Amino acid sequence: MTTSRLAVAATTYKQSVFKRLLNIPEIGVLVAVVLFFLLFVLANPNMAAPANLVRMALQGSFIGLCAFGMSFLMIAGEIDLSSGATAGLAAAVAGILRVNHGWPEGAALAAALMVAVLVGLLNSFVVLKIRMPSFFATLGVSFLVFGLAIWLLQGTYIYVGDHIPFLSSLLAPTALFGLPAAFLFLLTAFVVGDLLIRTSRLGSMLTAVGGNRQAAAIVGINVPLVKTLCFVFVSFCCGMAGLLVMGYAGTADAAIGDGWLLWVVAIAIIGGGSLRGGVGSIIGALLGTILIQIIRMGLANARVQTNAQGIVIGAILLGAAVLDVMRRRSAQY
Amino acid sequence: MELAINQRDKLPWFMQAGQLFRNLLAKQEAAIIIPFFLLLAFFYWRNEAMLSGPTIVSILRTMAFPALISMGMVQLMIAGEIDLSTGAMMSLSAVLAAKLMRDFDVPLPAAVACSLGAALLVGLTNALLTVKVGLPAVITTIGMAFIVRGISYSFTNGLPIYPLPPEVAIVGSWRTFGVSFTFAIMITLVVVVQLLLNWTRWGAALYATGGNKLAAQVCGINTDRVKTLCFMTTSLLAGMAGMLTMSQLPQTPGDPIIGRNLELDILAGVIIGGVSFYGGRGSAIGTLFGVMFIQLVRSGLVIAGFDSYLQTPVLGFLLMIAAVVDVLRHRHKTS
Repeated sequence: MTTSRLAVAATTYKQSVFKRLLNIPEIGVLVAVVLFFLLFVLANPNMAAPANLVRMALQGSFIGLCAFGMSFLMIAGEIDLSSGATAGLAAAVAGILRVNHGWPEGAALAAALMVAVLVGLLNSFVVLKIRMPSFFATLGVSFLVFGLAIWLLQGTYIYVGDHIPFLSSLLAPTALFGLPAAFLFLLTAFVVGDLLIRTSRLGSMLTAVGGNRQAAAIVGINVPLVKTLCFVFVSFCCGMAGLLVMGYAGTADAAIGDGWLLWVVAIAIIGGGSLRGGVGSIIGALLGTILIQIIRMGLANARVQTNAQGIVIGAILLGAAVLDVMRRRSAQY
Repeated sequence: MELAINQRDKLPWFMQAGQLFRNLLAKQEAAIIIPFFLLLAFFYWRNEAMLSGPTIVSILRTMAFPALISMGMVQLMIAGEIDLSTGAMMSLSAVLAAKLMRDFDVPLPAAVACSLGAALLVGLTNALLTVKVGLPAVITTIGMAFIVRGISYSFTNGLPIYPLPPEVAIVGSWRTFGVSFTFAIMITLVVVVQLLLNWTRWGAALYATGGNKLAAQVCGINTDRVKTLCFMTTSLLAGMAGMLTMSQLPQTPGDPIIGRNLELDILAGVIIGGVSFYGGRGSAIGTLFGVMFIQLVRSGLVIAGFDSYLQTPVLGFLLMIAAVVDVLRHRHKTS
């Protein structure tokens, strides 16, 4: 008994560098990122042009921001399918207040983020107080929120172009390789978030809440509070992403976040998260975002029609979900 | 419950029917009737055109499509799963049939058969991923919705396909018993599904699968097969509804926009009609009323002079309310 345990410990210790590398969960995504990038660059060398890389960084920031928030929520064992709708609503509110009502930019943006936070509170209320499963609750909320955004915008969109200098400045190139400030902030957030999850109590707290709710409550973790904060955080991130897209496109449109929920959930799973909760990695989500952004860019370069891109989006989501199941099964044995 | 069944066996047939009717009313599905008439009265008070012949006909004609699909959805949700790819399936089946007829000179029946085959295939894929692989049905069917609609758009480059052979318009203008073909099929299906649910082993298997999967399996019900059949039925009905929509549109175009956002109407209708998303609960009649309720809200808001963009948030709100009621009922039952 003792010897065998020792032997196991010894073999783990003596594993080669290569094997230990393989045990890092994020390594698979990293390999995929490199492979896909090389593949697309071989197909179209313009992909690797600096201007294109900067554009990828900028466009990837929007969905990356949502996925950043979502990874925390999915570690805590819940999911939010209202991400795209929340982004649309935030953009609608900001656009209307800024352009139609002439609010100062800061106030309009703050109000839009407040609305996003309210959506998060609504989500957490329905999931935690009413105790509706989060798959269904956030789906219902997303119908409601999307409807509100369409109603506010009266089915059309608002041109916000030069009314939002602050947002535009976040998206403008900075001195650092011409990368936009929004991307640099997001990158910092990913690194800080990952460090927090790995080193502080936050990580074990979220894992406990997502892995075994009762046990977490017994240990003295305020489970509803943790989950509420996560829900609010996701909605806040999605609202912010919606505002950034509004700044990028120059229009406030309810359909800004169309199809985001597929990307975001797929990224979180690809990055190591699970639909069952309890696991996940923030840096994995960053790698997942990069992977997805490479694929999206490849699609755009191949001139695939926007609506037909749904085939790829759907296939990636389903592929990621199957990956999640396979990972769970292999972890059981 | 046992007592009720025993009594029913002894009663003459007309009293059995009466009992069935009373049982139906006693269920919470019947609760929908009160808000239904209150709402109707409110819209009528706002505008008397609410109860005019053309309005009623238009409501009934429009609701036939979501109601047709909801007859598959109600069985699927009783069995404890959900399908959000129905609107996309409508689009694909219409576009596929139109493409086959216009570009490949396939005769109408063969084109319809191909589309229905495609629908069955989509249903089967949904079922495999949900039942065999074990993905949550919401994720499977949302992903599938994007794939299916993407295929539909890539067939057409986003443009409607027409002109189609005149037979399509003839099907669209059929009037069986003075109502549209779609409506006739839908009403027949409501009756058939209600009878299936109440009187057959299939119905019992559905409630058992959704109510308590393990117990159902112990009783020898192949729950995987039940769910698979439900997924395929729902997809098949969505495929039918898509082609029927096409046949009733002016110029009968195979338009990829068919069925857009219809998932909300169907889902809200089914939940408002008393079907539980936990499974194991619901009826065809209730679902019919739920879908009718949704169409009443849509049409009534327009007739009563409200902003037409108010429809979607109001429907979303109604869906949330109905879902909350469902959860509270479920909690009440389990506690």
